[in-house]
Amino acid sequence: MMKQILLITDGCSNVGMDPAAAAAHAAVEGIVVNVIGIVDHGEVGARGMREIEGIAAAGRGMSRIVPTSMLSRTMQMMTRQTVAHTVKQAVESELRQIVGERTSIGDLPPAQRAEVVRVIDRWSESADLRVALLVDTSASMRPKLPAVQDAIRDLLLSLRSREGKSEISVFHFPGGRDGSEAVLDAAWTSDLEKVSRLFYKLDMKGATPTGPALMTVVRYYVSGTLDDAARMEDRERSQPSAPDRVGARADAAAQPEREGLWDGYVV
Amino acid sequence: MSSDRVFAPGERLKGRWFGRDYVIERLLGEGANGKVYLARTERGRCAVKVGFDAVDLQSEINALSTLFPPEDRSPPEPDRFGSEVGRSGFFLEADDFVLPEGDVPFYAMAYVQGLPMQVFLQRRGPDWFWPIAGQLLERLVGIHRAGYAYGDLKPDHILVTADGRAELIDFGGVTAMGKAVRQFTELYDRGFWLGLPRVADEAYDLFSFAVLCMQVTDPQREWSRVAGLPRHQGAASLRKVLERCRMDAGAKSILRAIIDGKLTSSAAAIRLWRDAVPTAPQPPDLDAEAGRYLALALGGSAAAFAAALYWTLQ
Repeated sequence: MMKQILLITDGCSNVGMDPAAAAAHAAVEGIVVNVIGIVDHGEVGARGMREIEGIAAAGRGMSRIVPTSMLSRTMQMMTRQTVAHTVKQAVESELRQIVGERTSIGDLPPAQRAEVVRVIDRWSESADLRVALLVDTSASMRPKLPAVQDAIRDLLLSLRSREGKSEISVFHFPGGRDGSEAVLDAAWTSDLEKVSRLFYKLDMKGATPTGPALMTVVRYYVSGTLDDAARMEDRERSQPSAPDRVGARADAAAQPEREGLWDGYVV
Repeated sequence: MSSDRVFAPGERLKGRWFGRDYVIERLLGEGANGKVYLARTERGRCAVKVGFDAVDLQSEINALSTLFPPEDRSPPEPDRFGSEVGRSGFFLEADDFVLPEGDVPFYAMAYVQGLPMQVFLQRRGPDWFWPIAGQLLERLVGIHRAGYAYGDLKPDHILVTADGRAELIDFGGVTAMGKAVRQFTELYDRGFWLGLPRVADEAYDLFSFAVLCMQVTDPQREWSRVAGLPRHQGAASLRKVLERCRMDAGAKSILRAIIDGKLTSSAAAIRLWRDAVPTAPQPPDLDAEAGRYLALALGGSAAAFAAALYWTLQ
């Protein structure tokens, strides 16, 4: 099972834990965190940019700032490339054990490379996949939500075309008891109908608790149900300095960017 | 081993595995997953696609070597460079360029000199629509027989040579039948218009074919705005556009059947297309002709007017 979180936001978090630390939690659980910053007018700002890049780096994923019109294709491109990258990494680590250190797929002679890539393609297509979408619905995002909803539906349409079982779930934030959590809009599903009416009952408070919202989604992934997740959250609150327990953070930050893959994808 | 490096004209490169020398002449364009250059070899010119990512490019090479298997290539291997696509096959060889900063994967293909489909039709006139579209269907039939769908069919991926041969030039979307389409463009995508699955099958390519036929024959060129329209508009809106397109009734009824999901086999489509050959004089599209008349008359070109009149009376 491949696990991804796709965070869609348009600005900076301002409440709760460091979202990059939350993304590092996800990475430890084997969940890749990708981030899309939507910006239609002006810029996301240096701080917002750094935060978005930081979350993706800690979550072993990618980040991209795009206008609303590019949202749908960017979501599909990210999801697909993340699957391909995950498979490629797994295959390359196997290769290293068989052929030796420092072997990448590009170093193989043409005939073997062709065969290995055939395996990667088959695996990418047939692996089971889950993508949790986490959507920032704070005030400035409101006008973009119809486009986000549309893009989510279209993503599921593409994922349903894969051979492997593919499911998505949808969360929005802020919300919950004290406005600092993510609220589940759609539980794991591959049914297009289940994602056609999202983002009702939005919290009117202005906060953007990106970090805590990410943690809610990670817990949902790990525990399977939202109730369990909520219970886990209560337990979590009584424990001090949760991010410090994660050792993978520096490691993840050192991960080289994969921007080169980006522009080459038309969806 | 991925690269977005730009090669300069005159740059000399060597293939790592097969040892062929290439001299870059110029950049031809940028595909979805790599840059395409015109290059010279000792055997002649060819187009070279340099990939951004080794795995991604290799997927494309795998599809190409299935679509253009070595045993079908004639004349034999070394002489295919510099020759025409039609008799030699499109795919030439795949190798890595040796560079100081690390090898870069590429493949060589026949260099197609031509115009993008819509430009060709604008310059050479609507008479060319039927035969060019027919050739595209033939290409699709060939790809489908090999067990693949083309995927990202659109005017940008079609070049028409001066003698009217239509060639597909980008195979980045080629997908084995039954798998999720690797690469698509919303405007030509049945998922975008109809909400139908993006699974590689013959009908997926036929749908793109229908939309592109409409796009290049639609007198109201509003297609650049379509991408901003809501998704899943349904077949009805496409049928409405089809009505105003400048093509004869036979072609229209075939495209309508494709849009409605009643025609799902490319082999059947090419048979129907051949049967629907417009009978001379062509085209019987009176509105379009009336428009041309008016333009010519207003332009005051008496000679052209007489010629157009003669042509219509014929």
